[in-house]
Amino acid sequence: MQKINLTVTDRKKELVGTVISDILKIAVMLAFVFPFYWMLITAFKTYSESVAVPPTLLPSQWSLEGYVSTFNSGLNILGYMRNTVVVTVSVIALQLIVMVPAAYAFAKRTFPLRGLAFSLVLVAFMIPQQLTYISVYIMVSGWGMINSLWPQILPLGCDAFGIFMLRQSFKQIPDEIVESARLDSASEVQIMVQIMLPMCKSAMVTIAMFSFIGVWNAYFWPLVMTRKEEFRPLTLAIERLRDAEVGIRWNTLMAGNSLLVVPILVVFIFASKKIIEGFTYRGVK
Amino acid sequence: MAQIEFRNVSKYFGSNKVIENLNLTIEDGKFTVLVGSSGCGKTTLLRMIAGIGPATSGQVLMNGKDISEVAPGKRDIAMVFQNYAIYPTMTVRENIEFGLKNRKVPKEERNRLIDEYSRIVDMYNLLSRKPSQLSGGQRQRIALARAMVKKPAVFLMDEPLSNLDAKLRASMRIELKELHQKLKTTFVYVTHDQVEAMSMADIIVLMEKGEIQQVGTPEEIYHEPANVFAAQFIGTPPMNIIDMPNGYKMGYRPESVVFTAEKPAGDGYRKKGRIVTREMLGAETQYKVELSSGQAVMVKIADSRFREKQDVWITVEPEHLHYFDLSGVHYSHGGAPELLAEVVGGMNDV
Repeated sequence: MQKINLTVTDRKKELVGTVISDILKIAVMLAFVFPFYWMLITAFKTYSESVAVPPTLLPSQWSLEGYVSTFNSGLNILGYMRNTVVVTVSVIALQLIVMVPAAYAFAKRTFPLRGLAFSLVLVAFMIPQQLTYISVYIMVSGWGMINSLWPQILPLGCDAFGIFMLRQSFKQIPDEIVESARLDSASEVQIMVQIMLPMCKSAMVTIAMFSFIGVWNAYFWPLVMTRKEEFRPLTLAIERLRDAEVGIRWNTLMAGNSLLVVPILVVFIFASKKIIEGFTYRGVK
Repeated sequence: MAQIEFRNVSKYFGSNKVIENLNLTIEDGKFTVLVGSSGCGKTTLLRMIAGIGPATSGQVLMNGKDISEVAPGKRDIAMVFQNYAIYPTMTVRENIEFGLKNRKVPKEERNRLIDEYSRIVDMYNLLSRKPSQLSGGQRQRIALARAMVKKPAVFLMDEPLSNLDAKLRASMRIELKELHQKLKTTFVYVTHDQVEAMSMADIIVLMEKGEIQQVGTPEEIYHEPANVFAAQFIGTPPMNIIDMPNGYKMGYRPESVVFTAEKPAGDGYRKKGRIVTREMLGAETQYKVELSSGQAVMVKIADSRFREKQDVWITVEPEHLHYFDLSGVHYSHGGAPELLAEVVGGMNDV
């Protein structure tokens, strides 16, 4: 009898533990989700409701006023969006073209000074971007590229973190698989693209996602690297939405912000499973 | 069909010498097994033939032609790896097809070959499966099909059965043997398991520390071991090796011992002893016997009537006795040579 009682108390304790941990999880989740929620509902409020005290948790009247004034603000919002999309897609494409062969070489091939070359990559990974602004600016302006999108693309075309992470992922693939592909008359490019990449899809998605967020949200880099509005991304346009003379129009600003953030959320929702897998290797035992 | 020859090959990993100046010819169409403990250099030799771990110096010849500079994919060989090394993101069909595609085999021919070989390894119904949905034995079969479909001149196998359970391993041994008889190509098979080597090989190449200890048929290696190492590596349990007073060694197989409860008549090597342990294996029983000299020997006979702690006599007929010289090399076999006759006589219990 005593034994059974013990089990029941143990179960109760376990249940209490689960409940407490679930409550904590929900609290943390709310803390993360609430700003996004607030941004979205503010975007759909009228101006007067957006500054009303006390604030409302749901718009009393759903309104597109924020979005309308974003597009009527005199800023070429679609032009900024186009810049953001072009820059982001180009950077990711360029990064993959550079990173995959580099990571493959570091992971699976031996060549002279490999250790030194890889430690240079790690050093690049550790240097803060802020240190490089001026020298990169002088370099690209020397190339006559300041009045184009190139300064936002080329300097970011190689990502040390990506090379590092992809190399780790490639290294987990047994050498025998590569050797087996060589015996199957596969070329090095084929080994990379047809054998290794499909096995490291998750790592690839994760790296691309990090780059996507970084470049899509970039503010300071494009601010320094551009002189004309026509080459600036959406992040800089949102900043300019605050420049209204009558104080900050919160619904307009949040509408602009939502244009910036929603694509990231959509991409993340589709990629989240792969991203989580990216940190755990699933090979054939 | 191909004969393979190693000429003065050496292999270093950094400053670590694995193989030095090794010469070996692997005969055309034979099932050759490279056997030895781990780190003896057997896999290194196999990788030299495959071209995925080239020799530091020396030549590897295939049908008399130096292939040291030929890319692995152009050597007309196929290899089966210990961990199978099948492509996990491809289906069974794609795994078998990958090499054919790269060799530009036309699609119709490819389909015909995949059909034929997937039936041979009994995987035809699983062609659209991914490797993760298959058992270890099935993965092994894909690896085999992938190797066979290339119709290579040489099959290389690196411990292909060691990840399988004992029962499957035994049946795959027989299948591989049958496969060899059917294909009649050169097989080079690496294993650390002497039972595998004995049961499958036409020719065994016994290696230790990067050196070849003996090359011969299983019968030769079992009955005429070249040295103490060969005598103790092959056979379960290994040959009993007894130190002789003059520094030579005497050896006899656990299977060639005669057991009696009473003192035996006649000549031959005979010792008193006491049974320490007894293992009933079915058809045979294995005893560990502590001799009057204090040394323990193994005995394997059909008779299971003897019990632990029982005093017994062991007798070995002269023709079953092996003698090894001071450096461990096989010296003579059968009746004791003149030089040793007296010493051997003095070792007997009376």
